[in-house]
Amino acid sequence: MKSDLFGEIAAELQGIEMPAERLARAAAIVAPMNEKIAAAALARLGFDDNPADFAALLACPAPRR
Amino acid sequence: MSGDPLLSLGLVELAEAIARGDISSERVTRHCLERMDRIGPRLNCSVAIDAEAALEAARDGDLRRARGERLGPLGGVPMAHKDIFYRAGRACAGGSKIRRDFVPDHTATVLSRLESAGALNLGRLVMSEFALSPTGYNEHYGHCRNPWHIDHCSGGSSSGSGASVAARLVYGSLGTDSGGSIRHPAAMCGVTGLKPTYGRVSRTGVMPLAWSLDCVGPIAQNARDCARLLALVAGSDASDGHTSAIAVPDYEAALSGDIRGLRIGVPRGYYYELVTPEVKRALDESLAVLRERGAIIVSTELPDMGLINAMMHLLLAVEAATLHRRWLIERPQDYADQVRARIEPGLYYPATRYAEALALRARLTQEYLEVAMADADLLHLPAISIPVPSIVATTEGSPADVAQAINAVTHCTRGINYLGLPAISVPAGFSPDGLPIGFQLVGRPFDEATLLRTADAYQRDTDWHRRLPPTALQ
Repeated sequence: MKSDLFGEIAAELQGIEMPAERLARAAAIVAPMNEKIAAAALARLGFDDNPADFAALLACPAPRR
Repeated sequence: MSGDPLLSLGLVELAEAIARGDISSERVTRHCLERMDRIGPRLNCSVAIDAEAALEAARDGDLRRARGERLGPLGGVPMAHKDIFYRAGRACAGGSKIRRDFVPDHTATVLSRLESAGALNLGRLVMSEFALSPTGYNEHYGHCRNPWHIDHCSGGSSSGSGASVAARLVYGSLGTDSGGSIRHPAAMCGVTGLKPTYGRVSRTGVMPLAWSLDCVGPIAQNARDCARLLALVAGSDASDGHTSAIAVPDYEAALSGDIRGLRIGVPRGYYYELVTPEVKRALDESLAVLRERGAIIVSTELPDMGLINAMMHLLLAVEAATLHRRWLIERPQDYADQVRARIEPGLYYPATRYAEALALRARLTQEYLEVAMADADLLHLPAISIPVPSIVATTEGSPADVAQAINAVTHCTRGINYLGLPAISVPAGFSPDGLPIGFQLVGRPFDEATLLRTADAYQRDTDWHRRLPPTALQ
């Protein structure tokens, strides 16, 4: 990912002007994380998965084997 | 050790001594205020102390007890809390310059619950800026200092809570934990800190960092003290829709000392990647104590912790960026650079990534329970993989070195917040330079009772949690 893309996102979508070194710093973190999560979601996210499932799981987890 | 009995009492012991009339609340409150005044500045652990209000409340409690009234389970016990909990009409800065003069119009549910139980509140304790540093770093109020060695980090973000309890300035404190912010200062300062299950404790009136991760929990000398505090603050709260309706057990009743047959999983791999020899030695010794008590130690596997950590990072960054975007536009110069660096990535993730991280959360938590805890009632992990770093090591040097030191601090804690599981940090010894080392127990959802029972059993056979740092004796 290019940091000039981040500059456009910051300015156009978030309304924040950010110097180049801070854009580069953010890009260095976001690019690999974004790639990792995007790949995991493609591989594992089910159509019926729902954020609310998390609270339900905590309330009633499967017992230890 | 010290000959002063007030330094050797824990929170529960003190509450019982006050209830019996062995000591007055006023006397112990004066003792804490004197220590806060004398020792506190060296640790830079408090923001504001309201001595008169605390003494008035103490005297009122003593009068009521003298009239035969029963005080609550924390009757007359001096506490102080991270400067993240709102109190109507009182400033609450959240460790920030931006909110230095913020005065909330309502009081945190947890503060109200503690005060209903009779606790005294001495004041506001230092914390990392906006709860965003695991070391206790704060450019605006100064870094909190470790009571065992003031050139070293206290841990954060509940830095003042860990330091104040360790130096015996107060008998207990509430902190918050979104990636380890209760467990870091507990481990680094040699005290006990519990991050409850997500949804176990109300966050109403608590400055948010990341809604999906934030938890409120106790920091105190030992597991029994944490059990009492958790029982008082836990439970549903109509004003916080994320709190669970699951009944709050009697945590203190669970402290039987009996852990025979309990299966404690030890996942190697990821959690041991950064562990240094002195930390490894303390971890092994703690496992030997638990085994001697009758627990069964089993090796377990782990799912992809890199993915879980990535999910946690994304939720924290996006939610923090959402909360802070206005100030990032209007007052960017009022953040420490280290703090802004943790928020800014959240501006750039596509909304679909955020939704994916939330939608995958149940699946990944289920997988963690099935892989890491399939054959275990709880897990035993390092709290922090490395010895307590110096403040210089986490503030100076190359950005890469600083980032590496900070990442090492959160290596074993941050993923647990994405999973929502309860975890407790327990003192387990000292490094050769005299700084505390801790281990961490991670439990199944809403099974704080097993964590507390195990930590309490361990503390019956060890005295790490009773040791006093040099600053406490001065």
